[in-house]
Amino acid sequence: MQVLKSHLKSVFLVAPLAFGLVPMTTSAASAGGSCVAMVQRGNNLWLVRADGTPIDRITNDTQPRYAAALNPLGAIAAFAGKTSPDDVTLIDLSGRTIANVSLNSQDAISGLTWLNATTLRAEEHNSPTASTYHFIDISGGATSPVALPSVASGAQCAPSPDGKNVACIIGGAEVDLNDRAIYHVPDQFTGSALLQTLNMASNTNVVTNTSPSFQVSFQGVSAKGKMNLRVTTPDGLWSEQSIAPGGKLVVRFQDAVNGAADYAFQPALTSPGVIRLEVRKATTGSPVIEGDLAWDPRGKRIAFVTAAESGNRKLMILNKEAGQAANSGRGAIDLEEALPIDGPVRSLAFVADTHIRVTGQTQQFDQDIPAQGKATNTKAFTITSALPGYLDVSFSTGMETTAVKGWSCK
Amino acid sequence: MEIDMSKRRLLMGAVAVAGMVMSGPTFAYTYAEALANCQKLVPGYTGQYPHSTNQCIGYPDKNPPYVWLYNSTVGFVIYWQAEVPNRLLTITPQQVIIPSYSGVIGGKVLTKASLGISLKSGTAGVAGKDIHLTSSRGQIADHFIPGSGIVTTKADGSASISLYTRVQPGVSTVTSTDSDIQTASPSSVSWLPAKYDNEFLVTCYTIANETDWPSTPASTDVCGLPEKNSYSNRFLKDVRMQGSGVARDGTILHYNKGQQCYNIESCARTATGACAVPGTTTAVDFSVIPRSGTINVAIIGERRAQDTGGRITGYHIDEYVGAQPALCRKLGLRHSAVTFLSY
Repeated sequence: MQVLKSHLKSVFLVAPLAFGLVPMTTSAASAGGSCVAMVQRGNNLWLVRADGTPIDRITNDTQPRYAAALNPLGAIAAFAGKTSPDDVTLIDLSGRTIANVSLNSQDAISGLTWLNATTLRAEEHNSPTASTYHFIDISGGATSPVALPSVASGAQCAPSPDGKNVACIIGGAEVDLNDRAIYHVPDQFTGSALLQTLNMASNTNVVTNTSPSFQVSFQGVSAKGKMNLRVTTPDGLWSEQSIAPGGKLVVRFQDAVNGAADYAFQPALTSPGVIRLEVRKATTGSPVIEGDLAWDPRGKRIAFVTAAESGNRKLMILNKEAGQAANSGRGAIDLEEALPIDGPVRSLAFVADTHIRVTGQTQQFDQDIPAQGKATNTKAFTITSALPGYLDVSFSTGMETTAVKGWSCK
Repeated sequence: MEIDMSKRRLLMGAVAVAGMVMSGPTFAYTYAEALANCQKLVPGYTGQYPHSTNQCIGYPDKNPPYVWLYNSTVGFVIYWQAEVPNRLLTITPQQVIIPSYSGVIGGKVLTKASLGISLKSGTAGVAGKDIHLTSSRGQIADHFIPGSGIVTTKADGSASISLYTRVQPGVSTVTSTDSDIQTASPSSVSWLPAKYDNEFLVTCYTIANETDWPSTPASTDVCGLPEKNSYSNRFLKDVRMQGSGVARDGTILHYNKGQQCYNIESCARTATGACAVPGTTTAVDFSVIPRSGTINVAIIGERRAQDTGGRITGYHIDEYVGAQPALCRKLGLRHSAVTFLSY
């Protein structure tokens, strides 16, 4: 039975050589000692201590509450769905409604996140990979929330501190700034296994001798030198691509023998109408951008985490100004380093210009970074216990494991 | 002696007590009868020892239970061994659920069966009895909580205990190992289907459709696609975000994020590689519902967990409805109970 423990109290020191990083010695930290959590039991919200003892029942009715989130200052909470799918309600911790915000969305609000004490991000569902994001500003007071005009599509969209820019994750593999790609995850076929090399003439078909075997159809070369290839998998499904020199067609196939794997078909023109085709199998899954995006307080840098299928994670910090100035389609990378914590990443934040914090499932990574410019990958870091995502709460009817809807720490 | 002989049977003819061999009426009864018979003897006891020093000492929890007539001078004199009581145990399983803290580990969900326990002697509940339970599949597959598999009956003879497993499908039969308890109805727990303890948010999604967007601005010679074809820029971004889309000419475009390039597919592929099919495909969080599992969504029926994406987290089911955005919008916000049927 996997019941997440309420909290851990040890401090981990990470072997420096494994990651090329220098761990910093710290005193033992007590996770959650002065913090309170909001949990949801049925439709009702409760405030509980880190040890799982209830402090107060915030709401006491059967009204549906979705995507509940506790403000980090701990005085107000937000939830969706009070009267319609696009309603967001703010309440105080006595359960009294402070304000209702209608976002005029077309689909359900499936997530609410406090980006900071005064900005609430509302996620309107679109599809499994993309949402529309609305931002609610309460800097003028929780009783007068303002839905900001900027609305963004993608994943984990986050506005810059001045609200003039919005960064989003696109397709789990790309970071966009104001609809322009500034980062892509690296090619998963770097270091892949070569399964077979074939020579093919235009308008010919072959069946590879790989396992699984694929039917490859080379349909010729276009006027611009693109090689038209179709690959049919054993289940009869096909993929077709006009491949520029250096490009490759990637096909995912799953069977009982090989499991799910990605295969690349990379042609190279060797003579007019003839290609040499390499068939490769990826040894690692395609890395994805995991968790959230975070802006630094000056609005000049964007941090995020990439995760490979192996579980290896990297902390990335992009300098968006350098990226835009270079107009290269990519942001300049200020930091790229191994992130030795368990995942998936739950949150990511610049605590200050000079400090970044990443929270995994049970561990929290903290590191000082330069206020600007390149960060070396030898900076000291600490790993401590993270505030848990679940708490075993001792309700009067017995112990229940509940999902935490936000922490507030004094 | 006024002893009801109707139910007794001879056990032993001699008992060694306090270094002496004592003869006595050693017969078996129900415990209540044994105690009553001893107490009958005490007031009118005419043996060689002063009766004021005689007393009945009972051991109802021993197996078998018994009662001693005790004399303070010579020690134990007579004992009555009670028959093992006819204690009937009834184990009633509740609906198998998947608790909120289950998660998917090793491709399997955690399933929980709450077992209602009732221990009776005749029609009366047996209180304070420790019942030792065991599962036919053993401890590797099945785990009792409390972990020892021991549960103590309350005043009315009832108790409850939970049995957990990640080994599904299968059937576990739960019985008591106590020799003085007869399991009247062993509990058979069929581990699937199992109902999720939480309601799910149910939304729907469509495949990106180029006809939903203005045809300009548009791009030609798009990476991976036929050079002369023109595609709406907004549609191409939609395909990048969602993974697949239907172009105006009806072809299915797919975006390969690693290659930053598009290709044409024979069908709209889900994250598992299967073709997305309206009425079958749902996107779920694979840490909540196992990849490719079959579920029953109470409000829409049986579906397959074939797709996923970063925007689907926790108790959220996204139903694929094909290229019908109007239908999707009309469905609005829904919630439903969900039952996991099979892997």
